[in-house]
Amino acid sequence: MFLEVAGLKRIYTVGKTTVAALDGVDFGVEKGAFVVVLGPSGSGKSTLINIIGGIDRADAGRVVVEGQDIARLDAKGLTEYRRNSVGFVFQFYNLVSSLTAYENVLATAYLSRGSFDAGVILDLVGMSDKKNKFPFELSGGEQQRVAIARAVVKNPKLLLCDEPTGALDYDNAKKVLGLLEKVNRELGTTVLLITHNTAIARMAHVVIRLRSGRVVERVDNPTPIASEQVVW
Amino acid sequence: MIYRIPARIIRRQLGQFIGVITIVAIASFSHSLLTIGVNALEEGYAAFASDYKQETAHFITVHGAPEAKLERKYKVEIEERQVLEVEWEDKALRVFTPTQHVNLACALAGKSVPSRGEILLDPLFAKANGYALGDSFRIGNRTYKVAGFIYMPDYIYITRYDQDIINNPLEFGIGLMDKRDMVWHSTEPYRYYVIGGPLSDVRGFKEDLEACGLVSFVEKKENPRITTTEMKLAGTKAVITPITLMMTLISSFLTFTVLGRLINSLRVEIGTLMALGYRRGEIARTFLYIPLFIWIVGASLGTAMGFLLTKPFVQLYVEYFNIPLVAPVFPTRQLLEAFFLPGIFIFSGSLFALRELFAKEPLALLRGSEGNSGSSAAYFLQLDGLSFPKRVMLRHGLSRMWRNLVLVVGVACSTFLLIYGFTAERTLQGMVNQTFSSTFNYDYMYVLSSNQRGKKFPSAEGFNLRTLYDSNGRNVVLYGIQKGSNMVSLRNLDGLAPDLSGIALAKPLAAKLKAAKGDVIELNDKLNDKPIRFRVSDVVELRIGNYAFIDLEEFNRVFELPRGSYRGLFSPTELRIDESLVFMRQDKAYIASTFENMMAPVKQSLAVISAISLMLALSIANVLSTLSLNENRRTIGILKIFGFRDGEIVFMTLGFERICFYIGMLLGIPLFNRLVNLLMASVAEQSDFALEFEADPVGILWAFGVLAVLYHVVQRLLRNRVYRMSGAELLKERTD
Repeated sequence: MFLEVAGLKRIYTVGKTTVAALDGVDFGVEKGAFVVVLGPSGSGKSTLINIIGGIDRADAGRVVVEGQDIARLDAKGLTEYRRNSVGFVFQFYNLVSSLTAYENVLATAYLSRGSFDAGVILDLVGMSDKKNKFPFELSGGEQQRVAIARAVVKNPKLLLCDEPTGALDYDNAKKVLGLLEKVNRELGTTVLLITHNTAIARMAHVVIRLRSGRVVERVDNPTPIASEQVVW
Repeated sequence: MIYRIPARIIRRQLGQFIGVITIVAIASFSHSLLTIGVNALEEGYAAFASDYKQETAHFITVHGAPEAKLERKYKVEIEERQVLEVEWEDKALRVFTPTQHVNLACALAGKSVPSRGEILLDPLFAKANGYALGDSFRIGNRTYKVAGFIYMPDYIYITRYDQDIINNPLEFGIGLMDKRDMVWHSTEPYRYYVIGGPLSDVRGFKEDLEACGLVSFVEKKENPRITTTEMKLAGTKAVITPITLMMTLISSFLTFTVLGRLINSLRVEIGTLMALGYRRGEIARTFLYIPLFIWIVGASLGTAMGFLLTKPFVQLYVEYFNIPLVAPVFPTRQLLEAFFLPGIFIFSGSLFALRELFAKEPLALLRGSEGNSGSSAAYFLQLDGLSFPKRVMLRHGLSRMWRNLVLVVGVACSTFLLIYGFTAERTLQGMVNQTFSSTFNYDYMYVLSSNQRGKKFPSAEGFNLRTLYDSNGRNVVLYGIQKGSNMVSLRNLDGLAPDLSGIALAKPLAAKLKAAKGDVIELNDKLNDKPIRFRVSDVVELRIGNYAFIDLEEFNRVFELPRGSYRGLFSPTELRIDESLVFMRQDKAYIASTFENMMAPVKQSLAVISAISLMLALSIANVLSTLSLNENRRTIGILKIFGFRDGEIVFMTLGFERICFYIGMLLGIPLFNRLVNLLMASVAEQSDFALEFEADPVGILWAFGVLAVLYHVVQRLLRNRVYRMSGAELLKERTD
């Protein structure tokens, strides 16, 4: 098992109120899978991906990635995990505003020894003609493509995408899905994508449904459709 | 790659960075300018005293002293000096023979040792009387060539008599002349000895001199021509140092806060890098380039400007103190302090902020954009009775209390310094007027060579005068004045005529001696060191000088003088007294004007301090307001889209800061009243003058007016910036 999540809990406390964002989540994923996590707002999707990505901590449970329980790692260990194993695509892109598109990709390429060429990856996402533009000079779709290039360039074992199409129009969203599919198929990268768009689930090998911090359904899909066929 | 981020951030927010750099530059500038100035002078004086062998003491004997024997016994250097007192018209020149081991002359221009037919003059006398190098100087029927301008380490404060408070270079100066030229003059030169090197057994030395007929023995610490300068130097340092330190600390503390906020405002970028897998060390190294840049640029600019301006500043002091700069003083320590001190605050502020950020999970940083920078307690305040803009303004301001506190403290200190600057001159002028016009009604004061009795000058009023000192060596000038004196109009603290049955102390003197009405104090007679106990019968409202007053007849009784005798005369008009009977003569108008001149360097320093403090106050307001605007861009965007007017948005985001600015201004008044007299007390400890300041309404109005107008300009500029912001653009920035 490439990724194994067991008994994962995350509780937030605001004033006197406690909210269980994750309330015992269990699932496992094989290497090279394209996984879609579905669920309504507040179901715990983002919390799950943030913990798997090592940018947030669990209160209980295990998250084992290639045999390493990242829930037990200290801050330094998590940094190394993020540095060497994970690529992150955020809903709001989170590009470094003072770096150009190319520099944003290069900044991540620097982190890993097995990185791809930043220019090639930008070309892959169709952004080589705008590589010297700063984020504020790019549209939302373009920024997300750069964000994907940035996540992919270091050849991560696990690509985590938090609502990557959530802020995009249909055409741009389709392009982004195509890119993620390409990365998964051609590079063999395990992709975990969270969304509330059920149509996207049809292109996944595994679909996990969350509700109120629990896994309510897991569907394994042996025949995922191509991204071009996804419509909504 | 991420090493490019700091430069790009600085370029993007250049206006804000210029503001922060200005504050750092002010910190370095004020520190370097003022401390270098004061220390250059202090070191200059120390070097002058040591290199030019300032005397340890000097003495006069009736017969020649056994120099070699005494030198061997006390391991000191003794050198004979001849002195010729030359008088013409209303001027007098004291001419010395050059020495080789003690009290060496330092040449400002020309020669330091005169040849035959040459005379060297002190620069103040030469300047006041218009002598240039090469000019002829006539004494009696002989003419000398002015061959140099010299400073003498034992005559730094050049007064004719020991008792003179004020020097008058127009009427009195010193010079050097070859010993062989002295014989030509009708006045007989007299001889005295100067001692160089440490003398541990003064009493033994004096006893050994008794056989030669010791007339006088003056140690360096009793020589007013040396101690007056040392006191003035210490007094100036006592005023300048705490103010400089205060300004440096305020601006440095501000940079600490601002840098903390600035680094904090980059938390999303830092969080992104952390999420991508950058190590904390890599991120810290990258983002510390920002404070490094601010520090290097600000501190270099400030230190360099301070250093460059030091030269004219020091020159001003040099002329005032009459101290030569014998060697170029390179103020390494002060320059390093001026450069590194802000750096310490900048880096500690930045590291503190980075540490705080690193303690959080990347997710917390990625999520936190606005609103979490302040205290959450402010959001639970019940403000239902207020309008929406007022509620927002108060919540926004109260949630950033720490920063607003910095603003209040910074502005209060700047206001204090500004009031000081605007008030000092008028206060000094007022004190001079009060002392020399309202209290001392005479225009001329004569000290006679012997005691007199009877009324020889109907318009004049007799008085007696004695210099005393307390256990700490502080001088007290005691006047014995006539009952109901018309020449000295004293008032006690209740505005009534004071009780002069004991001694009545001038207000600052009473504070200095820590004596109150009814106390008994012990003072020593400077003539014979005899201790005398006095009852303090009153404290009089007089703000300048270490003066004490007593009834003339009581004075005569205490000092065992004949009843009705007097040694001095106060007169509203110039008296025709035989010159041989006059020991000392003082013109009150001249004393008053010279006293004002004496304060010139302090006033100049205050003007510089005021200018710097004004810049500081505005920089604080500008930087903090800009920071507020930048941190609240999203909120401003939302408010703009809602349809709030620019003025309302400025009120909501910056209104609390405006209140804090005005609170700071108001707090400047009590701060002034409290601190300025603490400062002045430390000056009084160092000098024979004790000054008392009070915040003067005109000064306060000026300080407030200038601050308010310039602050209004800053606010206007910020309002224009809000006007130029587009709501949609501001909201879109979140996605960058």
